[in-house]
Amino acid sequence: MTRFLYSRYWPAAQSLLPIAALVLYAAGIMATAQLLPAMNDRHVLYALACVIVQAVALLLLAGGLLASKFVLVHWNERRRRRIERISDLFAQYSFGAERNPELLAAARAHPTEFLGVWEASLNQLKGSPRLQMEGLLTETGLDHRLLAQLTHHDPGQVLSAIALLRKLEQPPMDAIEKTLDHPAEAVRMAARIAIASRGSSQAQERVLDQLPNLPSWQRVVLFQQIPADSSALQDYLERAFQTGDEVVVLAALEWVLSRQRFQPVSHARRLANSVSLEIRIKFFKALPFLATDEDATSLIRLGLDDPDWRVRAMAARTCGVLRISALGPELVQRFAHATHPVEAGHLARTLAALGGDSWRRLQRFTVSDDEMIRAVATEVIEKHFAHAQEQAQ
Amino acid sequence: MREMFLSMISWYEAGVISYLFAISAIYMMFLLTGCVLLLHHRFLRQDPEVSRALEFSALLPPISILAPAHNEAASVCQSVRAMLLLRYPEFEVVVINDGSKDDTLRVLIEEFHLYKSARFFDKRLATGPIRAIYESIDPIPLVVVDKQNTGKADSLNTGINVARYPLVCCVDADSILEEDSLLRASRPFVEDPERVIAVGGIIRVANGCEISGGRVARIDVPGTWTARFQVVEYLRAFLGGRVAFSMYNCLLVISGAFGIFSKAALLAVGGYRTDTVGEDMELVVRLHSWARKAGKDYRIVFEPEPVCWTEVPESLSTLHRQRSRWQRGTIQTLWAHRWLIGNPDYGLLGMVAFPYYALFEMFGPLVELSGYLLTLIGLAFHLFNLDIALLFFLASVSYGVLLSVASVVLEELTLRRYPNVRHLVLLLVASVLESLGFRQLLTIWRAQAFWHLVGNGQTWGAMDRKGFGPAGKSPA
Repeated sequence: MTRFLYSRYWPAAQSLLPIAALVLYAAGIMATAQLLPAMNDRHVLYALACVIVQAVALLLLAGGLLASKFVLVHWNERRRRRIERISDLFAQYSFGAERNPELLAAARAHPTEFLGVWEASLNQLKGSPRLQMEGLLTETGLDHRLLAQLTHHDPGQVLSAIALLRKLEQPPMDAIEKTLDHPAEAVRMAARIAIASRGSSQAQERVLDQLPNLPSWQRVVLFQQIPADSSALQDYLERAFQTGDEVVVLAALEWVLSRQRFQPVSHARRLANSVSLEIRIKFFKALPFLATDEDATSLIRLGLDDPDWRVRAMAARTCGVLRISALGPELVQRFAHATHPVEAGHLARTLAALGGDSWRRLQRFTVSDDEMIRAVATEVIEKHFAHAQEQAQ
Repeated sequence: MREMFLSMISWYEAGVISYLFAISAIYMMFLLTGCVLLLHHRFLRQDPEVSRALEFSALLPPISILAPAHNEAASVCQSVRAMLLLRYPEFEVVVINDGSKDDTLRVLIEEFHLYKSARFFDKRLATGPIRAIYESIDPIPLVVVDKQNTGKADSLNTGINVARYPLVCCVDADSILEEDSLLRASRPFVEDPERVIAVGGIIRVANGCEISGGRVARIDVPGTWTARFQVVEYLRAFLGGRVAFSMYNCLLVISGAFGIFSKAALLAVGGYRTDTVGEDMELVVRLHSWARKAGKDYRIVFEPEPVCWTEVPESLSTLHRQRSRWQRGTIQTLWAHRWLIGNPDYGLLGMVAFPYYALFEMFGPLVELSGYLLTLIGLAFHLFNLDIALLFFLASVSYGVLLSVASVVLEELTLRRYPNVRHLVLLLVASVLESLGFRQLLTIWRAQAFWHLVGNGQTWGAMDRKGFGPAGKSPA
């Protein structure tokens, strides 16, 4: 079933199945009308056929629904009991009991439930008890079953095998890396996730090279998986920031913003002056996490002079995060003439964060003639006090 | 003369029957389309790893949740608490107290330690006057806007003005969102950020469910038949129609109880219109119209997984007011955008979705009611044979029952929220009984909406709230 759902034939089937079902329904009415005794009024004949077909369909649907639910509820109950029993055996095993033949028998008889409990225990355990649990996979022989599943044609089977194998301390990455070429995109994505977190440097490089071409949600997911100290990632980011490719640079900046780890960057001025608005916005947003080869103050000045208010707002925000007091007087001037409320908000919050003279001058804006400036300054000062009160409590 | 009259009546009756079969056939198509799409959705979205990663990502667009509240003291605290516990990296809850006459504002101030805030906002949309804005002294992202009573649409526009984030989620203050509903509903925005401008989620009936700590702790079928009929109705509408319309980017309704919109798109179309009672449908139609006129490549999506639980009316009088309002909203929207009907410049929207709504949703009750009346007149004056009239009635009713049962089957096949056989038995019985009286009653009420519209089209009508569980009762 799942194989068909993941196949390339599914989109066509998706459109055709409802029509086919409706045609089947109409054909059912026609066939029933043929079976009924002849009547003068054809409308009455077809109405009667319609009622019969609908009644049969209703009975089949309702009966099938109730029967399947009944079976499902009982099956789930039995499954729950099996899982409870296997969980008890796992608990005994983890508390140092001898390898229980009953546990091995359960693994052979009910591998799906066994693997479910096994996965749950790996999520909870750490250290040697976890390694002990991992060993169970080999002892039960289920590791071979999962490895075989990786080459299965059914994407559902491959996905569940990847999800379980990647939990191991030393997952069989060679086998998982091969699924990067699987025809189903869902499997390729699962493989990318596994490789991003635990794969070899070469495989990680391959995944990273694909990053700019992946949909943004896949990038968001992968950014969470790659370890920050991965050498492949460091190499990739270094190369990415040097390329002129907008998509590659944006993906690298997204990683910095997503993980918020300190990242060395060369050619920062080029990014600050990029023709791409998106790059400039993201660069100034990510600047607190970038170790640049240039003075941050001069870079922020570039941002504050940007023609677009979104870049100016991000530059002002970064100035507050980095507490660059030297820019205080300049920010005060900019705040006095700000026209966009978001930019004004960032400027005001930065002035509050810088403290000292900047904070005092911000307070003077609460009597400004400009309604927006006055309101923004008042709000920021109020928040500042509320925050201080909260911290005091 | 008599024969001509008889012939006319017969033709009209045949027309009505064909119309009823056509609408049922279309609904069947919707359900079948919904079935294949939901099956696909169920298997392809089983990725807890992806959900976990998204939950902790700083790249997810932040969301402002807008919850207009009018006399909701009974349930507002539970709902707000549930909203604050949603799983999402960055969001704020903006409750708009629309001139409540009960203790809505007081209970919010006391429960969440609110203070009068100087929060600044850009008044991009024209709205009624605001009395005050409150924020919490606690580190929770809650903003309460207190304003004069100007209606739900104006309250939402106020919320859009006050909202700080690029996405706004419009919900009813008395509804309960499942804790991962924002993560799921925002997924289309993450997957297709350039094109998606609005996403609607599924609304489920909370009556009968056990609510604890602002969450649905145990799912059950409502205790009254009126509410059970509405469970079946909601399943049929959401799992069939909306999934199918969404597939072809023709979704015309995102329920006012739960929908996420791009704030930029809302501002571009001027926010909600305040001169209609169907502001949710009208907004979506205007978004379509604006995007197509501007030549934008856009999508308005229905997501079947993010669930919002809501209390449906159990008394017939409240249900009457609600359905009358919905029908008036539909009529007002279709009339306001009547130039879209059959307009080839608007693709499937103009050629299929809009004509469908006009023909079946707007005029449907009138045609169906006239059919019933004509049959009664025909039988009274011996113009029709009773057996034949009954046969056609049975054919029409059994088709309706078949559709309802199919929607329950679809629910069980795909989302499977009802855990027991007893639940399904009750829903199946409701599916049968719904077509034997309840549907006809709704038809009469919806037909009445035409007359109400001429009279007082802007009246919303009060909704009697029981609140969710003992904790949700009105404070003393």
